[in-house]
Amino acid sequence: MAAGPAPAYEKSVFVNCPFDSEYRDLMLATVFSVSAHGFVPRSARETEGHSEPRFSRILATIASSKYSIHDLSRSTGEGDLNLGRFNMPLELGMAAAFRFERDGSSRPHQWLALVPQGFSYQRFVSDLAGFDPARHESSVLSIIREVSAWLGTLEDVIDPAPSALRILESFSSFRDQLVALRAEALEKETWADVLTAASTTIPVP
Amino acid sequence: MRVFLSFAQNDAGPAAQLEAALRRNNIETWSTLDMLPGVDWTQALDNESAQADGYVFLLGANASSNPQLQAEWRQLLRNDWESKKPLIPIVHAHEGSPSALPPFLRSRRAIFTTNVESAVDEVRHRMEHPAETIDRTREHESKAEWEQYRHQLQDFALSLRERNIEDGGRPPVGAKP
Repeated sequence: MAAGPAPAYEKSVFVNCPFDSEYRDLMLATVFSVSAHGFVPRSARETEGHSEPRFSRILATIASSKYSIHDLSRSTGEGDLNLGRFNMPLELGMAAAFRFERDGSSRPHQWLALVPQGFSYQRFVSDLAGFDPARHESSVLSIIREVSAWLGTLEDVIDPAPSALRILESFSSFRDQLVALRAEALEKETWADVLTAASTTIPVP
Repeated sequence: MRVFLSFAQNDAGPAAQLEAALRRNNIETWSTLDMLPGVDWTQALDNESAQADGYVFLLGANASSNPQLQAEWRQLLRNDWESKKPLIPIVHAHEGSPSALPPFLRSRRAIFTTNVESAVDEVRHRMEHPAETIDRTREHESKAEWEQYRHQLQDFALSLRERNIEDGGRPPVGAKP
């Protein structure tokens, strides 16, 4: 593996949210908001294709990120068998463990949980009570607003950052840029494409 | 003119003085000191911060590390998602310094004072002239930070591309050659 310039720990935000096509715009809204506050979005998708087990790759990426965002939108029953997806709560658990273990150290970890409005997370993950998850309306606007409000309070944010409104207004340019990159690559999109699109379209504060 | 006054519980004394002084000067003010028993805390903060024309932050020592205050700030920022409300930090001069400002207030001009009541005229002025809440020096410095950040993001994307090639994947289009 090439030894590239790994982003600074203080600037890394691990993004743990669904990657399916239905959720795609909301995932991109989170990634774009992270970029528009001067942070580097990190993901398991960075290391797609590597031989190392996915679980280990995720752990390593969270461990090298000071911050993480976890959307539990897809943790409800789906399909004929009504199965829930547990990858996201599992990864939130990893982040919560890092936060606990590293509290007071030189490498602390902070996380944000996102849940859809009306989502009865208190019933199936009641241990989250007291952690004040951000509630969104499954819309790009609400994701940008919630994520931006949290990012704005973080020690390592670049201030001033663009307003949530400016981020929303630039979001379509980001998405269009990504669509163009995908089309040129015969629909094989990589995480590098996502970051490249973000770097050229984030609004000036 | 209506302001939302944010403060940590251990600054309740000066907050009460400031709130009274603002009201004496006909600046409508709401703070958690006005919370009635039995009212939902989160809902009240949400309603009042949404209705306010601007936010005043009374900052004592260690305000930035207070988790309850951070949760309150999140709510305020959520209700100022267009960044239209003036944000006015007031720092107890004997306790704070510019470096102690919360991250989202670093580009705002803070009022340093040991007598919070003396800040009222300045609060009114800044509410009426929101552009004067901005610290232009800090704003200018941040431009260089943004430029550096864009390069870091592009360099990281490039490094992922190189790894991807080594692993037999495709390079992302649009990346630097």
